[in-house]
Amino acid sequence: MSPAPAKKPTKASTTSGPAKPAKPAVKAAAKPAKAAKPAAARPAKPAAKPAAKATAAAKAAAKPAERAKPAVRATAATTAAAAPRKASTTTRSATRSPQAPDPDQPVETEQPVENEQPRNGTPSEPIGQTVLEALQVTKKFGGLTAVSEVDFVVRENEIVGLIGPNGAGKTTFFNCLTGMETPTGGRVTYRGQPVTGQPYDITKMGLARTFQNIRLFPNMTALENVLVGRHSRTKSGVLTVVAHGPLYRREEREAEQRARELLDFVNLGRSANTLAKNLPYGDQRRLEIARALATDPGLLLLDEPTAGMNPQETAAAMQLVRRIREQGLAVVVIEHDMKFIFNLCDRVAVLVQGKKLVEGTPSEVQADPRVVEAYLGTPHTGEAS
Amino acid sequence: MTLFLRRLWQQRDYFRRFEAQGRLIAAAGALLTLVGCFTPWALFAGFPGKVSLAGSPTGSRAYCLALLVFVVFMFRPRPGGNAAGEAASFGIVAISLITVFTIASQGGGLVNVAYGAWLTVVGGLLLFVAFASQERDTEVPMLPLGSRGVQLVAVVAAISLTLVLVVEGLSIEAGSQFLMFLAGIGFFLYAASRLGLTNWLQRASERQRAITVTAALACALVFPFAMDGNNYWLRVAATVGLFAATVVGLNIVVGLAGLLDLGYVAFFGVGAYVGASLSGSPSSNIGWNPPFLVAMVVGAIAAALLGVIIGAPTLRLRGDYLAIVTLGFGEIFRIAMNNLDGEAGPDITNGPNGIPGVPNLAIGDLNFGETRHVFGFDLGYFVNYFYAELILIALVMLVFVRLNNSRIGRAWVAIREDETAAAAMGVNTVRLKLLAFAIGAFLAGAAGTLNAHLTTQVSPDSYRFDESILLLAAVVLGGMGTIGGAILGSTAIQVIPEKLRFFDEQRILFFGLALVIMMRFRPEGIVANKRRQREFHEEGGADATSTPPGAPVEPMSGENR
Repeated sequence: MSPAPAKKPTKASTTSGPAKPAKPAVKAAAKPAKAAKPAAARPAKPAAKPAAKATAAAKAAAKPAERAKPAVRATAATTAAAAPRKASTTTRSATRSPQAPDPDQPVETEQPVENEQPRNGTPSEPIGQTVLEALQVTKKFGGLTAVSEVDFVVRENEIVGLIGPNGAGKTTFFNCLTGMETPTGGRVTYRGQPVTGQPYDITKMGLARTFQNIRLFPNMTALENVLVGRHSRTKSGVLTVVAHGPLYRREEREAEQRARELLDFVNLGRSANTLAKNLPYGDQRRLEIARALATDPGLLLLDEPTAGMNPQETAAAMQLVRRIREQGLAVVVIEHDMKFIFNLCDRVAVLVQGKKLVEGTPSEVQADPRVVEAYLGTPHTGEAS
Repeated sequence: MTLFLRRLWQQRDYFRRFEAQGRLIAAAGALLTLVGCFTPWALFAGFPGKVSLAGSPTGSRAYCLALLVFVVFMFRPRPGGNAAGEAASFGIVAISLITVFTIASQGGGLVNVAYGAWLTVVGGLLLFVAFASQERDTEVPMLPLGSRGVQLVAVVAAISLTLVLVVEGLSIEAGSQFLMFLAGIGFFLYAASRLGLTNWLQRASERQRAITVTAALACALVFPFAMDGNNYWLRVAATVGLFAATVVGLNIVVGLAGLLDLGYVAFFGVGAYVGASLSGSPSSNIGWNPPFLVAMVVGAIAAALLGVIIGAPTLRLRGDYLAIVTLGFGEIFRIAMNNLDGEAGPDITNGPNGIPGVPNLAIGDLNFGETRHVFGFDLGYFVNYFYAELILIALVMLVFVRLNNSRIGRAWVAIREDETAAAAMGVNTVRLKLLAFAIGAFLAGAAGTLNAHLTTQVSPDSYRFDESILLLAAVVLGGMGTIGGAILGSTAIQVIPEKLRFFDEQRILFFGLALVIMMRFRPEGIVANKRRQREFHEEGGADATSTPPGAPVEPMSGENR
């Protein structure tokens, strides 16, 4: 796998291997023109350089989708969202398929990807392809509707914030995305594939998460915790393990190497042999992130990564999330720390009582009176008394 | 004389652990105990251990004397010494008091107890008071590992000592004295653990893994020679060997994957029935008579298949539900074997009669029924099986250790620690639990086929619920997730009831009591898995692994011996 800590250009280096960005494009193309598939798949295999091109290709392909996006972004109109979405999918596949047989050549000549509207704080990033898409996701517990018809989109390389008052359904929504709860309504897709089944299947698809209340394996060392994350990306079975076959030895070596890289990446390299339960709180949070990264995700879901952290630790966590994005991942963050969210995220969605209230750039969300109202209540006008 | 006194006075530093009064009490206690150990304890001859004779410390007195020597070593301050001394002196009190009660009950009243016993009781109490009045040691010291040579010698010595103690213990005829013997060893071990010695030994044996395994194997090979044709105990040893192989298999299910299996003996039974049916026994209802190794594989696969069939629908359940289902399965197996006698269905098992007359095991030209003469020793029937079992145990151990140090073992531990988090990290929890179940069943089935030959017959009543419980008790007693523990645990489970036969009806009661005491004072079992030990004894806070960042840290791999 690619080395973990990197000062590499954003687009070329991806944690999950260079194949990732190109993959959805292939998928989309495969639908209208099955024959195109082998050709499109080929450039995904070689390492860095062609992959960079493929990434650019993916971005270019996303542009038509981008044009359709404002409709999605007009978040208040949740009901209207479904139709334009479909449209954008078809546009994308339509524009993509002619390119598919030979993605390299035309992409090279493509003009630089134009920037969308600048975002608050961060330098504007070219918007990539949709990674995760939740449509009308609803979760009811008996009579209680915890999450109600939420639409949510995460694009390649984006950091999206999810905020809302306590009990707004943020974590439940996370659980619906990662298979820990089955949504009672709606649909979730990851890179075009439906997200269904057990949590481990979903993790294998490329979604990894951390937990609000840290859920490490307390009596395992930090290294072992990360190694567990490698489980789904290794496959030696009982026989090769018992026989210490070559597959076992190679996988074991690579898994440990990767795990150590990840520990270094989150600055826990020196604590590799410490028990998870004996790590300081902030370290435990970072270890959980390292463990999630070990599953080679394309999308990382962080549930309150800075809860209980002091300002220095929070700042470090912000840097860490940015570095994760530099690895080519998309990140969704639930957080109560507004400074953290508004400084870090490209986009912010506000959940209130299970419904998505507002979605937009941090400045848009900050300025929205409804958000202030949701958090602080309606200004008291004296009418009631 | 004055010179001697002066020298003694100079030695007072030796008592530095105690304050002025404490020194006096400790010295008096030691003296009383010493005298007590050399004077008669009973007024009538015939009490086991010859405790009615003055002069040489025999029977319980020897155990008290050994503990006393240990206690005196604890007079000098050393980390953990207080708790160790306390435990050992309590051991003196306990052993002497129990002996007093047995003498009284066997000899008809306390009048038959001689002064030596009382001296020892009082001496032990004084020692205990001296140590108990000190500040308690709460922490077990972490001893430095020392050089490789020291480790090697210590490990080999410890294993040889174990063999000597086992042979010694087995040669004790009287049940009550055997109980004292066990108590003495128990108190010794507990005291040593408070000094950090057992922990040190465990770490050393992990470092010197190859030597440990070789020495243990050598001891096991030597054991039949040491017993020299004592067929009774060789039969027990053969039973223990097979039991141990099964327990190690169960330890994969319970100790590693954390699945409570209350019907494990059924898998063992499946193997046994397959083994018996394919053995060529005249009562067998199946005509096929393959070589034993084939029968073994067939039996193991049959058990594993059954494990998968039982497991597939139930392993989605967690914890208690699984235990109930496995319990039910164990009963179903027994009842099914009872009823597959041709009255209402096929005749496979001969019902309650079982399949008798399973012939001796023969692998190639090797007939297990023959007695061999080696170095002037007769190695009979049971010894042959004992050696075959050693091979089986070695194979099961290999599977255990290698699985444990792999992605599969880590995933099992993760499932045990937090199943939800494990699933969220991409561990296919259902499949891995099923795998643990199937592997456990496979190993039990293999052991079962051998058992059919060892006992020469199978019948449904050999596979009752209490057998499953005994298997489980061996795992828990020995230490979940360790091989040494599984073997020690199965030895204890099989041998102690044999030795306590004089208790007849109550022996299971005493056995249960011993288990309860064990769980109170050492819940992680005799040989603790590092991880288990942490679960029970380290509630957060600093521990050895998190101390200085530069210090060498014990590698986690190979935690089982």
